[in-house]
Amino acid sequence: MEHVLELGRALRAGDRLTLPDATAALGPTIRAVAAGDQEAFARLYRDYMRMVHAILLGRIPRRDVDDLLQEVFLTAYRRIRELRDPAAFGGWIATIARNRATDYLRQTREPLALPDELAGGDPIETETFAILEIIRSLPEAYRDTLLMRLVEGMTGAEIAARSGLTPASVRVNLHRGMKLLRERLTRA
Amino acid sequence: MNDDYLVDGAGPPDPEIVRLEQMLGRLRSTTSAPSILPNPEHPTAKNGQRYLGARFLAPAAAAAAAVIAMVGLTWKASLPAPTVEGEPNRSSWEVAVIIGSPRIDASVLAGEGRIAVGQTLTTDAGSRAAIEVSDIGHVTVDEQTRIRLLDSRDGHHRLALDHGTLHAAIAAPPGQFVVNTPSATATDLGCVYSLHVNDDGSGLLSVEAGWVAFEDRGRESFVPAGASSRTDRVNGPGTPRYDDADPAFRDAIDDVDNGNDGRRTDASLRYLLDHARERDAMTLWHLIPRVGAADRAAVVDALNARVPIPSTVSRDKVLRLDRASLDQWWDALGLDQASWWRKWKGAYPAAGSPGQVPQGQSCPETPTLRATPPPANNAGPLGDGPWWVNTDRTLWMQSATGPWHAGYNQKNMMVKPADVRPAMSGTRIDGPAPPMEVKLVPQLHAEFQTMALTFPMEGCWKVTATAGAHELSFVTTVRGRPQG
Repeated sequence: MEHVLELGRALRAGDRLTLPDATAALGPTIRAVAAGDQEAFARLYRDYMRMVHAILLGRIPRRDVDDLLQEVFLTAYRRIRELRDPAAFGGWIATIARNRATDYLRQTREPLALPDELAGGDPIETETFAILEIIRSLPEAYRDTLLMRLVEGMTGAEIAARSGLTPASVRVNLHRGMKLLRERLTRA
Repeated sequence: MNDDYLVDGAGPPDPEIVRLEQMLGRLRSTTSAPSILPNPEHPTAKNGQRYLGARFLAPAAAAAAAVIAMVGLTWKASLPAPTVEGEPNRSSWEVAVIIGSPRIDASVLAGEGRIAVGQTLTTDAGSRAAIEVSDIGHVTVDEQTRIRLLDSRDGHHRLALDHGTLHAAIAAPPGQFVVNTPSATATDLGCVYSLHVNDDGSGLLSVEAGWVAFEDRGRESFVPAGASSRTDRVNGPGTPRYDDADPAFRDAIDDVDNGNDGRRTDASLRYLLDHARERDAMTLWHLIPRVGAADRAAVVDALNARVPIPSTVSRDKVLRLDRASLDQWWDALGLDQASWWRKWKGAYPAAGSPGQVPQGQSCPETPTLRATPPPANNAGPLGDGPWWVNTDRTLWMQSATGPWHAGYNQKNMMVKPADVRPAMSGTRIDGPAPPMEVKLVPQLHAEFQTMALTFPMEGCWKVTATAGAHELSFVTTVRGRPQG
């Protein structure tokens, strides 16, 4: 079994993120959100929505991703006072997203056995969804990191800063995930 | 495999990864943060009743985008950028990929980057990009577009749109954001708009909120919200028309502006004069200097039938294209004052001057003040108004878009103490009316505050603004919405 560096692993003391300003400002932002500041909430959304979107896209049909994306942030807002350490926000909201996706999959009862993603007649669109399906079949850490990089356009440093992973872990996940993706694309 | 490109988007692009980025980038979300209630303990917030799924909001999103973009912009600090006389300005703006692989000069943009003065941003058929215009707004660059950043200094931001389409949402004093096209220059007067340029240099400007001045070689079009103006290399900016005019009316304007067939052009002009609605007075006014002398009297008569020429204006002077006379007539159209959009570099109009009081009513308007507010921590010089000012001079307010009209979402500016959240209310005092609607941009720590106000009805209104222990109240006239 392949070794996978888990997403959500806490940043260790001494690990330095490449985007220190982003996390350094989290404390005041989290407090402002807890006080109901829409601007601060929009800032959190802007900074973390790509990570959450990637996590959801790797698990549930795309047609429901945007709805759940907003649900996840509203859940985070309602529970923000439970968050003890502002620096852990990324891992915390990532966990909310994974749990919400799991709930969704438990609750969803498709009336017809339709595929999750229905591409249109555009061959490029068909290929896009085919690649997405392959990425969804990858181990979780590879899947999430690759989607953050390839779909959301996040750099390795951004992924580390948002997810709480170390930059080294992100690099490893990207490399191993990309290697696996290439192999499966070749077979497909 | 290029490791740097995979991890950081740096170094030579890996073709396979670029292709994956292009394809998978289409799956990105463009949703905005959902609204939250002020206090998460609120039971409605707990029940999530405020939440509507993105897919249910999607049909309204496009219509709301303009207002949200304008209202949601934070007007951040705009301290003068240090520049050295004689040296080119090297300011730069943030650029983010929306989809695909836009290029800045020859480099593929991955994720986010910056465009500097002198650089070119190019999108192909599969890419789009979003730009932060310094600290005053946003520009979205559509597919197959090329723009160049010409200048970006305090209060002066200029792009060239060589071809393609951009969408701009600017929250800044008028005149700070300018887009050059091959056939006209678009100057923002505080607004949201789209601009398209064809390969031959012709184009189309469509304004969603506020005003845009479209100008070339002295030919001006002032385009209000809900209106568009074509432009071409030969004739420059075309006659603006409201987008809800019927297609035959709009086609007739194109004929009059650019037609080569004299008989057809004559017929089109006749159609315009016969079918113009009262709302189309804006179009007829623009036509006066654009038609030949032989047709001018007919245009003047048609405009006079919709909006009577003011008693103080001489018809002969209008026919001689006297600028002051034309401007006075414009002021009677029920739109913003000509003096405002023509002299936007200077003062804003005195909202609620005695001449604007609806007939039959006497509105005890609060006088405005010509004075300069104290410097704000998040804005450049704000000019001498006219402002409404409270007694201890801690709250200053003015309309950013000229006189208020009922039913329009209009931008307003306030100077207030930092770290206090303002509140506003408005009540009509000369008759029943729903309350004024307020959309405040969250700018808690800022001293310069923007907000959108909508007065549901014309009449005499009392507006009250509070910030901490400070209060500003004034009475003003709100005009009726021009009838279409």
